[in-house]
Amino acid sequence: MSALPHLTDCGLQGVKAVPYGIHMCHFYEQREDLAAALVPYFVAGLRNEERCVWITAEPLDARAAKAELARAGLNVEALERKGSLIIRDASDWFAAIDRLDGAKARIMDLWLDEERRALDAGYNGLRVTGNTAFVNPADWAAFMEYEEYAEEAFASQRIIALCSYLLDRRAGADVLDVVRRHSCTLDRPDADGWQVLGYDRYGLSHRLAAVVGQAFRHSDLPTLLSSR
Amino acid sequence: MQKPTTSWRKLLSEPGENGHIVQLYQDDDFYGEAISHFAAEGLARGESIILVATLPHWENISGRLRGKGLDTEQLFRDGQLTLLDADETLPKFMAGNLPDGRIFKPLAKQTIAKARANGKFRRVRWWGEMVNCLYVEGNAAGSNRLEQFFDEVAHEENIAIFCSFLMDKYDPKIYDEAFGNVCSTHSHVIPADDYAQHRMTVNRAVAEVVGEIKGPLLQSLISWKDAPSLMPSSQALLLWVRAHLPNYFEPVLARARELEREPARRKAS
Repeated sequence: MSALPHLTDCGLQGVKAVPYGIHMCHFYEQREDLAAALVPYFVAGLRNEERCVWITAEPLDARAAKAELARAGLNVEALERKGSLIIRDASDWFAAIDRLDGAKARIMDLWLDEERRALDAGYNGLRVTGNTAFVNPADWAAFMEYEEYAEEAFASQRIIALCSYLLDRRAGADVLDVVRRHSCTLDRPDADGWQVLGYDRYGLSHRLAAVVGQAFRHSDLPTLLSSR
Repeated sequence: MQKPTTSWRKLLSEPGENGHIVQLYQDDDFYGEAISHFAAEGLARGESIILVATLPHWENISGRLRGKGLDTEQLFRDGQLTLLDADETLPKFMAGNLPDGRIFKPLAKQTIAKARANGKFRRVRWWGEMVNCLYVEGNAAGSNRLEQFFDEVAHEENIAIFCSFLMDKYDPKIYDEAFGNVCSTHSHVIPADDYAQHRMTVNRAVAEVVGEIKGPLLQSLISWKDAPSLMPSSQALLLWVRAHLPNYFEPVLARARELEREPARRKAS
């Protein structure tokens, strides 16, 4: 699979590789769940020479995120100085966006500008994550529109995105709202590793076939995404 | 990729080239507001509008169009608005209990061609309730067949079609056949006036009846192949419950109905 240039290592145990342009989500309940997903995700991104941008929110703010990465053996300060790693709190990153409603194009411009700068600087791509805990319930519909927009806009870019959502087990429609607006969902059913769910919901295999070309076989996708 | 929807107003403003949208309604305000919004937004975009209404319903719709500052008489004269009487039009193409496509489709295409006014109006959008008239009369087969013809016309003529169905979304009986038919012939389903309220109501009903969605249940929801046509996640969640937790489906609907009535009761008292 390494011969396929449009794929990159996801970093999560159980998920072999993912295509650039993928817009994934996962649900967490506690701070530990967030760290368990995002630390290996960024370790892989840095190893793959991608610029990594982590937009944080409670319960794992920028300071705590840096501490988690340092615990994994990364020299966070040096990586930040070099520009490989950017860790910012959501309130800071989105400071220019006063209202989510109607701002999806402006938010997307932030990401696309960042991708362009990363590619210009010689990185292989942009790896991002955002914890959506900062989204006010009143802004839910507007934020879902932004996610819908991101799903389309990222598809043709050298960006891989993983959005973190706090799981409300009593809000099934919210879960559906989220998974319907992402290429797939990463789930960690047990300590053995991760699995990719819902990847065939909206034609991820067809999109992947379009970027990878003839080397891709639709039947390969389940094997590619998961080794569980 | 198919797009879910977050607002019926946005959807009816821009229904797409051959979008075929259906509204499930039970109250006249939601009914009239949706149709007049669909028509007014089309008019604002310079499109030609065909409305096929029963007379009492035309009073509701035309009042709202006037309320939006539109002069319906002038629009008729300009040829930008076409009104057909549903009760008069329906018998023209019915053969017994079923519509005859050999009569209906040419009639529909003729109406669309006239609405285009020799190219004066490039786009046409159509709202009608003949299918609903058949459904309300208890002629489910005729209603479904006519809807299939409409769907074919939408694609052949590249027009957006909007339908309104008098249907109770919390009635389990509609899910045996009618709702499935609606999904199979429409690109989008609008099940409620207030999507945010519907989301809260369904979430709460599912949580109270089913309990927390976690473990294998959560994985089942995430992996679900989704509803057959586009609809808000709250309505899709109900279909997921029906498919995966059939014993809970009717109690969830019953609880959702109770919860939906609560704010109305509070308002009344």
